[in-house]
Amino acid sequence: MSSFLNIAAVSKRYGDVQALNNVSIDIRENEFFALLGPSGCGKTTLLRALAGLESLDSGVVTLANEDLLSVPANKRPVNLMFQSYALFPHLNVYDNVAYGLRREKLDKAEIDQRVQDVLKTVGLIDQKDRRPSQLSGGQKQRVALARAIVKRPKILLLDEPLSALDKKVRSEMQLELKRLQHEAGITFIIVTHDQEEAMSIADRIALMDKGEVVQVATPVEMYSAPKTKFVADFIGTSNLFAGTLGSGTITVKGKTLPTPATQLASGAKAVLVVRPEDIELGSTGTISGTLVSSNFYGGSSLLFVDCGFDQLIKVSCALSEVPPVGSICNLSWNSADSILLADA
Amino acid sequence: MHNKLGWLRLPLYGVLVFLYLPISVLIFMSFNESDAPFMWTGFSTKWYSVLVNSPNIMEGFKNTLIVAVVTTIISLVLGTLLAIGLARYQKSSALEAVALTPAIFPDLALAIGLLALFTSLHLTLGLHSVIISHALFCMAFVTAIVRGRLAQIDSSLEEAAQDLGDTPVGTFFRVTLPSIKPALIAGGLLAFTLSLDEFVIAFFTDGPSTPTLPIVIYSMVRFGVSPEINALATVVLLISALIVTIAQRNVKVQDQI
Repeated sequence: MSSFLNIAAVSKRYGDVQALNNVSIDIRENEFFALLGPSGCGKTTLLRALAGLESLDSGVVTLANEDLLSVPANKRPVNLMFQSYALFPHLNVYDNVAYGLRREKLDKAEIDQRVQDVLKTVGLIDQKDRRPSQLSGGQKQRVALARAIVKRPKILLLDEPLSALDKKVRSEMQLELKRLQHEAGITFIIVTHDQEEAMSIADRIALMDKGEVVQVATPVEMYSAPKTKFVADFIGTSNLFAGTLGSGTITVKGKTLPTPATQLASGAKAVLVVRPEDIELGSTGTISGTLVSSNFYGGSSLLFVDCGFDQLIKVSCALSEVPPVGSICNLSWNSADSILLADA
Repeated sequence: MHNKLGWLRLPLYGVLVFLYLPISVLIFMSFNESDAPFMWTGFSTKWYSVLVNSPNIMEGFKNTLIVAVVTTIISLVLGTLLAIGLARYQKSSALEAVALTPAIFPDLALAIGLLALFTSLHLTLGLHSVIISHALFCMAFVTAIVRGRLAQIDSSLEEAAQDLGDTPVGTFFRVTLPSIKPALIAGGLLAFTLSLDEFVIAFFTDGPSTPTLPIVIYSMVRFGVSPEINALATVVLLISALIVTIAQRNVKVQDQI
């Protein structure tokens, strides 16, 4: 597939901190793309650079084969939805949304039409005369979104758009964002530190760490085939066993665990990744230990079992089968479900 | 609340009396018919007409208004630019301290320093030199107020305007200025009132042919207090009170937005 937004080998340094280190990503047209990573991984710097609010030290960014970096922020066909929403406090909802269109010097009737349309889309037409200070968090977020998409940008950038909302509103807005992206036919690039959000909302994810891209993949790929230990640890919940490889086994703190088929040589340092939902409780098991606690998550529970490793083993378990705290649990899994990664 | 305070309310009343009694006496006596300034003989507004018909006072009043208005404009423009510069590009807090120093510097030291400077530059003294001097210290007040406001507003507002396609100049007029408007009103009115009744600096830096109102009053009082001073002081008081009220209302209304 041809690339729409091509980010090639971009780097940025702030004093001693390498915010972006040789980052290359291809983003497709009409894609919902997520830049995911812990705070300080460089994802926001990259987003701001795409918006034109931050300069880059080196690298090339092209949008539809045209250089983007030489275009000043106010002329880029790219709009950013700010984390703080950055609504103009002295303007009402209507004027906030119309701000960008007025700068394009469109005629009044068209501006009015487009503002009305987008306000209807986000369900804020009745609040158009209100000031931002009179709106709830979710409403402000919708205004910020409307203000950005009314410009019909080629790419909409969203900086942690949902982080200020409470959990229930957040999941509603996730759906709403997906719907809008679909309707508007705009490429969305979202920055988030919340892996669940990225997994549920994005078509593809770039996971970043310390200014570098670790893996670019679909959410399913990223979950089922993490490239590194960092990815396996960051995406979803997982049990990581770091040890030394034998033949078909890995030795971790004196215990021997089965491994899936691997290219890694015997004697190498490796990490075995086992997802909680792949582990079964039984009468016999590969490892066993004492149940320390269980966390209830609606349909299922997450058990924490002390098997003598550095960390407690997480096991997901149907609610009806949760054993009492303190009992001995025997854990087993199909080694083909586990993932073996080289340990740096 | 009201009951619990009890006798603790006494100091409050004491302070209020201490503050407003002299002013009340002043306003009261400005309507006195008598030539003797502190002897009540009957109600009259004749001192107000004496005021209006006194060329010295009207000249001083005019000069003071010119100085205050021009000072306000200069200090607003420079003070705002300075505050924005400090907010955006500040590398050390020493710069901020230097920018705000004129506000706390002793008037007398400032006045003597300015006079020395003007003399060494062979600048003729007049309203222009008073305006320069007043703008100098009023600017520091404006800077302080605008700087405070800038610290409160979201710095991504300007970025948002640029992102939406606005030019840097357009962003300044359409986003930056409206967001600091309450501070501009408050700062401007403060500069105006500070300049209006400023005496020490004006006394040192003014030329002899263009006295400002405080200088006129001073020269009148030197030969004894005449009753039209009371009327004049009342007028000045009213103007100041009016301005402060407007300022407070504006700031309150704007802050709610």
